[in-house]
Amino acid sequence: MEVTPRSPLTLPEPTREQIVFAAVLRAGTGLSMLALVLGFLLYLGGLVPPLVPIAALPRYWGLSAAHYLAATGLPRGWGWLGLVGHGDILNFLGIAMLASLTIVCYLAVLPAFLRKGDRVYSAIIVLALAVLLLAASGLVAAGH
Amino acid sequence: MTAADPTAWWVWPTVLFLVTTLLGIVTVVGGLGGGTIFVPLVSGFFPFHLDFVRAAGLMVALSGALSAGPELLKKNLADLRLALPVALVASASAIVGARIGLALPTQPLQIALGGLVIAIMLVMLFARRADFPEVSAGDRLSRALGITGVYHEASLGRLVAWRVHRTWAGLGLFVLIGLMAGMFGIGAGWANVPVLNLVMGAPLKVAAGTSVFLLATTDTAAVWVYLHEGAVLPMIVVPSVMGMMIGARIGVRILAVVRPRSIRAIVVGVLLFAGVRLFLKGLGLWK
Repeated sequence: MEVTPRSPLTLPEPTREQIVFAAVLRAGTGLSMLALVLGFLLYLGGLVPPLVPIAALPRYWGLSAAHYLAATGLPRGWGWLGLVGHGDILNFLGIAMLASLTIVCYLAVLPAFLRKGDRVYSAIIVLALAVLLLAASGLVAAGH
Repeated sequence: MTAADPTAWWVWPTVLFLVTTLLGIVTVVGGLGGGTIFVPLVSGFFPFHLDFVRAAGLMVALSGALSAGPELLKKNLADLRLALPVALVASASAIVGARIGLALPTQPLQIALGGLVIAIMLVMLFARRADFPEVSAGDRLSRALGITGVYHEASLGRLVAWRVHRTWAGLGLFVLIGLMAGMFGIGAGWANVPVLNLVMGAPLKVAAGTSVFLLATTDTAAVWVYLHEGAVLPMIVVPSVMGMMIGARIGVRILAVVRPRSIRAIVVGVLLFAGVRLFLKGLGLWK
């Protein structure tokens, strides 16, 4: 560690990439949380009828995920998108938005690293994006 | 299907919301991530299957990390150059961990999780921390990646320049941390900070801030696996996330007037109790 000698201090400026990352993250988190709350209120209020009746949930929440899918007929992977008109599935939109934010932030900062000619970190971001997109694709979720 | 639960459907989600609000307060004041205490407590004492609890634990940790991220990045307390290589390794292994966790039977998982929670409690009790670890020179990898930084240390009223060493060892440990985060849905702040701080030599505040950033990436990878496997139940996830968010805001407000040490003692006690409960539940000794 190096501590600078006593001198008039100014807080070091965060890098351009950090500012971009923070801005996208802040806006995306707010939007996703709003979607999550709105979706849940519509679900709870019964305004959008659920696929699995709310009153029946106690029969299901003690099951493993695999048995829950088998018992309710819900699809694996991205199949839920086709059922988003149901109140319970509607909540997945907010959840998926939250789970996509880091991917969006990585995409947002990649150009800044490329412009700087920082090949190593550009490659690291591309690899990280590949990993996160692989997880998001559903290709690695293959059941029990 | 399990036998019909005579309790009205809204009772457990309401209790969950109240408990997570309390957890949000306690975790802010006690200084640990929400997922660490959420998973053992909820899986130990609520009627929800461990699959749903782990997914909710990841969502709780992810939401907290995403909310805290912007401020930490702006203050240079989370460093992208330090976080990105580590996040890559941890997120890849978190996917593997999530797959393993969802493939294993519940009982061995409960036993392992109980043991892990007790180990976390011991880490909290005995691990030393170094505010400013001495790193005389960065190693070759950290120099090649340019992992250095400067931040303003308010307690000293000065700028602090830092660098890291033992980068390969750190990356190796993050493979394990990612595996555990994905497998148990427990978040990983309790492990991120000691590795970044004690092994790699990042100052404690930078380690804590960067750990939050890491959680956002690691948990993102794992959450997608749980979501695609049907382990995300909105009736468990949303009250948990909202409760934790509201509790964290209350916690920040009361932080100034409570004694963190006594709260920390409560957290350690709860972790021990929940860990023993899970361990015995897994062994079939405490139904």
